[in-house]
Amino acid sequence: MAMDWICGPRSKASRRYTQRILAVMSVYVVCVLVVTWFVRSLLGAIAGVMAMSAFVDFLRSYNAIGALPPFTEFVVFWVLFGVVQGVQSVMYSADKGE
Amino acid sequence: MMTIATRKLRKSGLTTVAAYFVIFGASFYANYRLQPTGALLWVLATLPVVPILGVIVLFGRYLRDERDEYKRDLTMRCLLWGTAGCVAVTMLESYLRIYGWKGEFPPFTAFWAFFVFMMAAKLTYNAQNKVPTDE
Repeated sequence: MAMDWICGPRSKASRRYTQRILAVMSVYVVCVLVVTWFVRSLLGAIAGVMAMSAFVDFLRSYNAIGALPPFTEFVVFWVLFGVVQGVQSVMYSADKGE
Repeated sequence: MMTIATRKLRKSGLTTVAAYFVIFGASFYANYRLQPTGALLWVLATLPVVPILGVIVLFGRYLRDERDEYKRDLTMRCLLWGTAGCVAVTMLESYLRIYGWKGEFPPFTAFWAFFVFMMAAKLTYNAQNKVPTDE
């Protein structure tokens, strides 16, 4: 009785339910993947910008250099974001290929 | 109630922050005493950056290990606010400079903006979600 939902006769409604649940689950998996990639890329970009900013600020506080050109941090943030996204995409393709 | 991941983050975070202050003090003192130039100066500037990267790595590990989705979402939002604060401050300075301002923000302004915005977001979310004692 308990296994009826797997082995028993499938009604039209049951088939429709299975199809819908599979579609929703696929969307969910894609969303989780995209959000995870986004979070990792964001963390990578923050880490890079914070490291660069702290390094330059230490040199500035030691009077070794002046300020960076305008928008450097902004550009570095988005470049790193793109690089980390690319790396993850390549790693994901490699994992899928195995 | 603290989860295992939160406890781990708090413990490792405090150790890393303590390491940061020790390394920062040592680096500052070494610079003051030695007045280095060239490679040594760059090494002294690099050393305090390591714990800062460590904190970001700890956040990454926390987001991977945390099983409580609400807490993970809250941490993500706080990190986003911190990033927004950091980017906003650097953009403001950049626009001021291209519009002809000759000054500079003090060193570590972006760094402080990141943590102030992140902490402000955390305190705001905590206050918003506080459950009254009579409930």
